[in-house]
Amino acid sequence: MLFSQIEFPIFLAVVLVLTWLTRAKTTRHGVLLIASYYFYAYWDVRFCSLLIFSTMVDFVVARKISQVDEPIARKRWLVLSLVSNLGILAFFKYFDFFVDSARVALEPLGISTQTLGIVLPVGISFYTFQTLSYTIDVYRRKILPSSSFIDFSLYVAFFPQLVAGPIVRASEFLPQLSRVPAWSKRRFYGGAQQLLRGAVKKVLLADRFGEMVDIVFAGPDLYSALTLGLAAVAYAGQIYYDFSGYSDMAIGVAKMLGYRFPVNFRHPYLATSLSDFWRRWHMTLSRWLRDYLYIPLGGNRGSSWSQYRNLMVTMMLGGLWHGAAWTFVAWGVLHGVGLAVQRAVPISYRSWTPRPVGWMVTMAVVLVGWILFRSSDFYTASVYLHRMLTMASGIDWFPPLVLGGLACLVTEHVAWRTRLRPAMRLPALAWYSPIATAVMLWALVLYAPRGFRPFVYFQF
Amino acid sequence: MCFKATTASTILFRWSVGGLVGTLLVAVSSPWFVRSYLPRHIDEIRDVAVLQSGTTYRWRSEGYADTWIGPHGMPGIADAKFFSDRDDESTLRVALWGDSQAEGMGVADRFKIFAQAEQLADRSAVNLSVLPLARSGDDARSWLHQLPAAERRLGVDIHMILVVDLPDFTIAAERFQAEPLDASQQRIVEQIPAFALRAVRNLLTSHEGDAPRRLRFAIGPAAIAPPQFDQSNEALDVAAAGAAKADVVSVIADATAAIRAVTTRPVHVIYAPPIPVIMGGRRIERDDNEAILASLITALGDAEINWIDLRPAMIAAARRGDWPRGFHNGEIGNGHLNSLGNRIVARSIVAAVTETTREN
Repeated sequence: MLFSQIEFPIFLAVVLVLTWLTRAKTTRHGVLLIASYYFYAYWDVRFCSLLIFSTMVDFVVARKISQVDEPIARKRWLVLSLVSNLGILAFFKYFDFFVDSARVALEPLGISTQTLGIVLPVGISFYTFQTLSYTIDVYRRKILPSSSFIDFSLYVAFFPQLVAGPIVRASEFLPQLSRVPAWSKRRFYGGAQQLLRGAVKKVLLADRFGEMVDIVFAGPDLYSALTLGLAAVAYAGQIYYDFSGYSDMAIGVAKMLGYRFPVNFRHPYLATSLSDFWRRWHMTLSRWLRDYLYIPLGGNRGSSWSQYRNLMVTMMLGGLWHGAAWTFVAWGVLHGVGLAVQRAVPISYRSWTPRPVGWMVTMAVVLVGWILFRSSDFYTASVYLHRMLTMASGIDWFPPLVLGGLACLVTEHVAWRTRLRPAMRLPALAWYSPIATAVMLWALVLYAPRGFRPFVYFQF
Repeated sequence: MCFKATTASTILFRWSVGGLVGTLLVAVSSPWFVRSYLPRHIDEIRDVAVLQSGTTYRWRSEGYADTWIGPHGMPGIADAKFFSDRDDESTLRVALWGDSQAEGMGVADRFKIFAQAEQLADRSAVNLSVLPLARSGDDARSWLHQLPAAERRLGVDIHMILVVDLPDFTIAAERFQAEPLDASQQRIVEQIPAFALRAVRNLLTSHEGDAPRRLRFAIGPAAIAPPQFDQSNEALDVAAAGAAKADVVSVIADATAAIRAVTTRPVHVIYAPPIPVIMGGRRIERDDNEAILASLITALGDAEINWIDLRPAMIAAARRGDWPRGFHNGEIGNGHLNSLGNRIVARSIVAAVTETTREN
């Protein structure tokens, strides 16, 4: 089920009523667990088995790890979790990609390179990372294993974050399950407002941007450089509003149910350096990659070159996490190189660089990255970039709603840095909140684009 | 934020008033964004449902224009001009038939086909009056139904039929069935603001069209929604029409015979299929109807119906970078005729009329 589907408000209303009527902890968690599995099964019930398998493996492995003291035994259990989780992810997400990529090398040897046409289970990248972080944290003795299978199952499958994050850590969520949250009108209102804001971002902004982006990226050789530039910026807007909208909706729904999720976006297009960008963009993935990949690889320790290598490997795998295509890898490499270059620049020079210059350079890299990210292949990306940078002529197309959406993007980012920031949350007692809420609700019904458009991050 | 300090009734009052103010803001601003919904009535001459004369119709997607609804529901035509042209014996009256492409609600009145044709005719010193009788969703059955009365009562001298989707033309021989007008629906359209109607429509109908929305609560996998293609580009699908390839000729013959059965006046078929078009990132200039056009042109020739092919002009314009179809708030290169496309059609009308008058 999608948050932006018309069935979702009905589903949510039922879940909210049942959840808040149920005061017994186990029953409440049971209700939420059933709701979460229904939410997932709504897409495809067959893949619930993967979710159950992943949950069972990590529940058992974490308990085993905590029960033994011998380092080798603990490591063996950890390896079992890594192999099973990453094995499932590799098979479902990357098998066809690797077979396809290996075709050039394997076909001359007479080895079959038949792909299987595997369906990617929705949310597999997200819940795999969640369960992995749990087991690794138990292994590192940062947290204790969960004693309740229902609680742990709920942590893995909790529907607000199940299919597209935020990537919530066990240390953040499991303690919240230790007791039934107290009802709070303030929290409920805040969650509802965040849900509404997320819906507006997704439906009214991201989807509008997407209408132009899909067409232009399908045939960049037809359009003028200005239109290509506009579509690239529109894609930056689309992916931001799509994913941050989803995150807002997830965080909002969790709040309405009485739980807290970590923030996932902090106005990334205000970033004045690439490292700043990654502290603002998909923050829960950034910290996951930092804590479970970059630091174990060596992090900032060792020589400069080993630090660059660690950055490159982390960003490359981060790119691959987004999708089974070389364009995603290239996107990761671009950011890895950018981060390495940034690190190579002496601090004195960095501090001397005016912030607007830093912002422009950062946005240029981010924009080129988004073109790679959105293009179906390298050829399309190269045509796109070449035509854009050589000011090629072609069809001029400037959709007014895209221009309006970009004005919203700029206004929202600028306003966030001013005294308007608290007002943007629409406090319950502020005079303008009911007016803004009514306008947003009407706008969702009146101005939503016709046609089904899933969240961009669902494919990851 | 302090909920305790404020009573529930105060909050309720604030939110009720705020909600009303928000709704008012949406209502006031909605004419910029929401198309209008106007009641229709059966025109006494045309005998089909048309928009009420003397009203203004707003179109807000794929084009952006306000259209004045003139006499007999003709979009864009000023009452005074219509009546003065009607009384002027020297004016040559051309009826323009077609569907929404000829109707041109997405462009301002002065850029509609009839207006551009009259402007061009003025420059050529041709005394021409074009009656925009095209209606959205119309096909040949409706055109032929209206044609005799248009000649008798509106004094039409020449007929121009703009054909975009060939199946709309080849069903000319089929029987016309008047569309029923639901009186209660007309009352609702008259009384309820457009933004509220639009909201209800969006909530109750599916994204794919006007079919009622169906909620699904069953678990998946659900059938994947098929990709949405622009169906305006569909070729004349003989199989879909239930006819064998050999029957195409007879279908076309029946259509041309049906036209000739209702009028002896000059008839011009202006063929402007949706090509060139941009679909799936490709520029398409191939006409899927090409195979049957030879039969059609022969049949039209036999029935002394003139054939005007606008494909070369449309393709040439697009190759110059001036796309005859599409709008900035829709999609350039796809969709309805824009003002440039209308000009190409208008030019062909003036040329054809000039040719016809010269022959006579």
